[in-house]
This record gives sequence, C-alpha cells and structure tokens, in this order.
Amino acid sequence: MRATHTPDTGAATGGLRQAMAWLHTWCGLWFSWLLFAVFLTGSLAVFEEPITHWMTPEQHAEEAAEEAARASLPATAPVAGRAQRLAHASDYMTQHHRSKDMWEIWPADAEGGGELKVYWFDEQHLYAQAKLDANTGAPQPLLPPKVPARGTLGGQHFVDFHYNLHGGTLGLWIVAIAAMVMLLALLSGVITHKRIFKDFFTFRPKKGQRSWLDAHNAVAVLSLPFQFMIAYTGIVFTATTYLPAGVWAHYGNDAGVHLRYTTELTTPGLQPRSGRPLAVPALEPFAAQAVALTGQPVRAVVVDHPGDASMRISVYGWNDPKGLVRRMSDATGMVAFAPDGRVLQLRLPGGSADGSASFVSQVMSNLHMAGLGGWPMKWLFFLCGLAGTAMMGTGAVLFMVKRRNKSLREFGGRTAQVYRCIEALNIAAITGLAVACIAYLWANRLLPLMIDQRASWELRVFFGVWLVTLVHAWLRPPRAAWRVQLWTLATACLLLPLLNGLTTGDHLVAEMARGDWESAGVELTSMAFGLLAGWGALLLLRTGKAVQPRRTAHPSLGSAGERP
Amino acid sequence: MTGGPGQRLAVRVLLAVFAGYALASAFAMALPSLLPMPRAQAVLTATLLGFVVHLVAALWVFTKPDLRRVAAGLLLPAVLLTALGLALQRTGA
Repeated sequence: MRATHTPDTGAATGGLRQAMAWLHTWCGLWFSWLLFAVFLTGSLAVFEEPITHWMTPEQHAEEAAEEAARASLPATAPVAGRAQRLAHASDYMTQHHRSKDMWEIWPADAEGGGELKVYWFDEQHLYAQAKLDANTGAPQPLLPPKVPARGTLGGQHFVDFHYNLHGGTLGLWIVAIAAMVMLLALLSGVITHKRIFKDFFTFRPKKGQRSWLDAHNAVAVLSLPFQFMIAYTGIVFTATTYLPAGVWAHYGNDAGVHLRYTTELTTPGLQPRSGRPLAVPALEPFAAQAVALTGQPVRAVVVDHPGDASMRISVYGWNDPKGLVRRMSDATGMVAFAPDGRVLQLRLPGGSADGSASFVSQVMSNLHMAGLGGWPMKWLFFLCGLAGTAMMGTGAVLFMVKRRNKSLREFGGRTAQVYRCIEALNIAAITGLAVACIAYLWANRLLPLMIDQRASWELRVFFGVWLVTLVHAWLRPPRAAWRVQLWTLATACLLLPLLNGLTTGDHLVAEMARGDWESAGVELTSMAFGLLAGWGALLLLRTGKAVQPRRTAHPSLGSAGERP
Repeated sequence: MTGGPGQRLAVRVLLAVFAGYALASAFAMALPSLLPMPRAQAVLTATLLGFVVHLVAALWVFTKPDLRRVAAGLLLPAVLLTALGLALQRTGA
C-alpha cells in the first residue's frame, strides 16, 4: 500500500506488488468519491419502490383501492375475450398502420382483463401508441397523465443518479469509466494483498491508521465477489455503447447500425421484406398455441413486417412474479411463428432461444438489479452495496489518515494544499452526499405541494445541499466539518419519522399496524443510518479528546495539525 | 522514452486508457470473425470480453518499466486484430 515519492517510480518499478499498490492507491483515491456516490445511491436504488411509495403518501389510499379492485375483478361482468381483442387490434392496425414495420399488440393483463393497447414506431422511429375499446375496437382518447398530488421522482432519483448522475450520455460514460477504474483498483488491490484472507480475520480496533486499513480490508474481502459482479454487470447493460467497435466492424457504421444489431440479436432469423403481399392471419390461433407451449398468459403479440410474406408473429408471455423469484433470467416465455403457423423459435420462461451470449447478458442484467430471490436478495444486495460504499469511504479516509501522520510529499511544494483539498472532498463525498440523500427525503415533505416543477426542486435541494456540504468542508477545519456533518446526518435521519408525522399525520406505529412495511422500512432504515452516523460522531469526539494537547500546541497547522 | 517522471507517468496513463481501449476495440472486431455462432451473438460475446481485455491491458501497462515496449505491445496487436476483423467481416446473420 505504499505510494512512493516520485510518481512514475511507483508506477512500474519495484516489483509487481509495489506497482499494483501504486495503481490501487491512486485509482482508488481519484475515483473513490464518485464511486462512493454511485454505491450509496445504487444501494438505495435497490429499494426504489419502497422509497417511491414513502414519497407519495397521497397515493397510498389510491393504491389500496386499486389493490382491492384487482382482488374483486373476477366477480365482475365478463369482458371481451382475447380472440376478440386481438381481432379488434389487427383490424385497427390494418386500417391505420398497414405499412409499418412492426405492430405490437398488448391484448390484456395477466388475468385477461384490463386495457387493449397497440404500439408501433412512428416516422421518427419513436414508440407511438393507441388505446382501443376492448368490446367495440373503437380507438379511445389517451388520457393525459394524471397530475400527481406531490410531484416527485421518488426512488427513481437514486436509480438514475447511480448510473448517469442525471447527466445523460455524458454521465453514463463517466459512471462506466468509474466502474472500469474500480475493477482495476479491485484487481490491483487483490494482487497487493498477498495475505488477503489473513487480512480478513485481522482487526485491530482503536489503532488509528491500522484500524482504518483493517476495516478497509475486511469490508472489501468480505464482499469482493459482489463488488466484481456489480461493477462488471453494470457495464454489461450498455456494453455496445461503450465498446461499439465490434458492432461497427460487422454491421457497418451508418446511423441505423445499432438498431440492425439489436433487431438481429432479439429477433434472429427475421428475413428482409420480400415485397410479396400476404394478409395478416387471425392472431388468436398463434396466441393459443403460445399459451400451450409456454404456460404463460399472453402479454404481447408482435407482428414484424405485417402484410409481407416475410412476416413473423411473436407471442410474449406475462411473467408470474412468484416464479421470477426462483429464476436467474427474467426473460418471459416467447414463441415466434411463421405466418403459416410453423414455430420458428421457442423460449420457455427464464430460458433462452436467442443464443448463449444473449442469455448470459440477460442473466447479468437481472442479477445487477437483484431481480431474483425476492426481498431477502434485495436486502443482501443492499448490505453488500453498503459494504462497497464503506470500502470506498474507508479507502479515501485511509489515504488521508496515513498522510496526516507523515506527509509523503507526492505533490512537491503544494503537498499541504492538495492534502487539504483531498480532505475537504472526502468530507463532502462521504458525509456530504449522505446528508444530501436524507435532505432529498426531507425536501419531499417540506416543499409546498403547489410549486411548479416540484420534482426538479427536490433534485435541486439534493444537489444544493451537497454543494453546501462541500463549501462547509472547505471552510471549516476538517475535524469540525466531519463532526458537524455527522451530527447533521444523524439528526436528519433519526427525525425522519417525526417529520413524516408532523407533515402527513402518519407515523411508524400506524404504518406497522396496517402492514405498510414499505413506509415503515424506509423510516426504520433511515433511523438505523442515523444511529450509525451518531456512533461515528461519538467516536470522533472520543479520539478528539485524546489528542487535545497536541492540537493546542500547533494551532496554526490547519489540516496537518488535525491529528486523530 | 525521454522526459521527467511526471511526463512518463502521463504517457503511461494515456497508454492504459487509449491504447488499452484500442486493443479492446480491435479484439471486439476480430473475435466475431472467429466465433462459430450467429453474428449478433458473436459480436455481443466479443464486446463483453473486450472489457476484460482492456482491464488486463491496463494492468500490464503499469507493471512494465519500458514504455516503448508497452506501446508496441498494445498497438501492434491492435492493428493486426483490426485488420483481421475487417478482412473477415461478417455480412450475414
């Protein structure tokens, strides 16, 4: 773990382990702040739905009513059957969208009721849709989306931020680069620690630098397979965006290349249009056969090249949520037919028909999102994600703790100033981000319901608070800044249930009593974070007392005088 | 290669990032020509493995002292693999 005095001498000399130690230290340092943010928000993203639920209290009654309505559905009057729905959709598409390359018909929900919808790609190649009356086939006006009582991004904020920092394609690239650097830091870290498993069983508490190193090693080794998995599977989602050379080399590099590739990947064997007309056959026999083959109710019927002899009719199934828990892949059942009824392709639920690479890719994406295993798996991912967060945090702190005791003078005459910057960034990246996350939840309760762009304002609070913590960390001595931000975090987390009670009248006991474990879970988890932050603040207080004489002896040393 | 330690480090980082990416790209271009599977599957496989190639290349850059050898060791195979991928371009599925 030793960084050497002149930069390049550490980069590739002094043996493999030293070179790897150098790489681990510097990749780790420069990217630990960003990765801490990605990991903390990514861990919270596991609970996207409970967080959204907590952030939309006005919809709780509505959700409960919908649930009740769904439960009583089979008792209501019979609705149009699948055959009739498919026929209506096919007629509508023939009449209005005959020449489109693809029709996509969603006949009904998993119980056979609900809405009948059709989709196609418009001239700009964007998804367009229409809703049809299931009984008459008449197009129905699409209702404008309901204006929510409390405008919010909810848990989606954490999902978006953890993969693109709300920064579109640029953000996507930044996070992907961070993920690659993280893999590099993991690999070099493993090579550095020759006694990796011995390290795991070593913990020397209350020993300053030693303790930070032990903690860093312990959380890293404990969750190492998870960390490799989550970083690599994260990149897999948009692999061909980051590394498009393979697609370019074999599909050409014009504008439509990516679409050609994904079409071939997901619908192999689709022939080019032949130019010979062929009427779209009745779709119900295909749907019925698909149900028999896959055992799933029909979710969507996709007709590629409708009205052409090269037509292909694919029927996709509805996944049973209970079945998903036990499957590596979240792929639905799918049967692709030629227009004469021949089965071209069959994919059983959770299986693969497209090929091994597609299957592996699908499994990895599903794994990244904790798509299997239900709630226990979500909690495991949450805890492993927090271990990764702790790995970044302890690593960043360790870098400074080591150098507070003895400057390594890596930055020549400017070393003290650079250390000061790193210290401030550590504080803002670790406690500052955590404070910003809880401030986002506070903003959800405190911002007036009527303001314009309310969801954006919640985000502005998140970024604004984060910026304030950075300024604070820069202006105040590091120890004081750590202490204030930790106490702020502890207070804000512990008081979240109180805030909820004061603003909505709901409270923990009532939530638990009515079985609303999503809301209760958010508040209990927040309180657990609060206790953790409070414990950290107390530890800081205790170590601070021990070095009091030294601090008064060197009042002018600034950060270098702030010794633990 | 001449220059102070700072410059040498900068060259090394640039090699790890860009030459490593070039090698990964070249690998993703060449491998689909050799894999006996449908074109889209082969491209996806090669792309997913390309990230591993980049990682190994970057690690290697930081273990070898001689920058000239590092540059040659990354860029020559990159050129060869690119040529191979383009020569054996797959056209059908």
